[in-house]
Amino acid sequence: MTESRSDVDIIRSCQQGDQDAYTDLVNRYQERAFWVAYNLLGNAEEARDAAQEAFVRIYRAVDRFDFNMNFYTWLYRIVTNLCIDRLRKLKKNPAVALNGLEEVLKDDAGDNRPSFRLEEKELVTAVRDVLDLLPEKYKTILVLRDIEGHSCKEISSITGASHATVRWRLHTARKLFKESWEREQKKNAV
Amino acid sequence: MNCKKVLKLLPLYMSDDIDAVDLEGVQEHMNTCLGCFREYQDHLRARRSLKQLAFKPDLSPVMEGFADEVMLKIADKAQGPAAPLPRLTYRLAPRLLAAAALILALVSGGFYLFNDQAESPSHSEFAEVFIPPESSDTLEIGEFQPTFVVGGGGTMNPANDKERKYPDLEPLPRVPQHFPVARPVNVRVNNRDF
Repeated sequence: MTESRSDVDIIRSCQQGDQDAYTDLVNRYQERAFWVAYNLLGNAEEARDAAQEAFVRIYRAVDRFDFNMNFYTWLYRIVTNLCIDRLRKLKKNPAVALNGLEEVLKDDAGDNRPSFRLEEKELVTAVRDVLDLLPEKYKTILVLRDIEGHSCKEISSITGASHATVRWRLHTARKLFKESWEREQKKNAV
Repeated sequence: MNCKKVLKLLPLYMSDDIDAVDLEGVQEHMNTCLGCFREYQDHLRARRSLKQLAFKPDLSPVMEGFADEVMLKIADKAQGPAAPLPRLTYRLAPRLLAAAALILALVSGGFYLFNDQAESPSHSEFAEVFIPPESSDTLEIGEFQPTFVVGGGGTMNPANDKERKYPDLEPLPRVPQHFPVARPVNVRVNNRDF
């Protein structure tokens, strides 16, 4: 059984011009990149584009890779920044439909996964709608911490903000989320 | 421990990033303070709501061909990893551009002044603003203000019969002495308004 190569080995191969090695890296991290982008953008197609763009940019800058950093930290940073840029553009031109993943993934008849039962779908939609109301920097923190499960230290590396700033933003983000959630619940109850 | 301190420590408490002494203090306080306990509950609820989005279904249909598309985009954009430019170039490039722009502006300005002085030292290109009509009739104030096209056959001229800056304009007749220039008329020279 062949051992999978480490990220560092693959990056060193890429620096020597081995493009095929990069495919392994893409396959390894594509879903993670997609999920971060999807949770930030709310649209499957946009998320796929952003994730692909991040991989392309990384390849073009692979000669400048800092081996003191983890590859996935670098990847998350680029994906996050690309998504924040797109969110800002979308705010100016809000023409993109949100919540595109449920249309893409079909719920099989014999599948027992609870993920797409009706009430859960509604809850997921409601949570995503409230998340979309938050400013980009707070939304990013919530996605990375409460959805993706990264520690504050990892988020600090990804975003470039200090540990204390990340904690403070996380606290503020949860407060804003809570307030927006209550407001939306009241609106829907009326 | 008071409420202010507990609320300040709450982010650390929720991130499990709190030291043992503060942890005990926060827990003790929340056992007795309903306000702070509710604040903590609200934050927990927000976090729990967001966890709904953490479930990840099988993404195979979405990710099909993802890696191949990435490699195609890379092949389209470049032959290989782009070599970074030397740092010196990054720092010098804006300064070199600014210097080049300045030199160009100086040379153009000098050329313009040189030509202007050689041909018409006292000429002002805006002297043509006050141009009377060709007719010897007097214009009343507020009356019709014609637009005259000068150049390529135009015949209007201010009281200055020196050679024009624009070589394609014909020399224009003198302004009749009796004409009271009450208001300027619009003049178009070479299809541009002055």
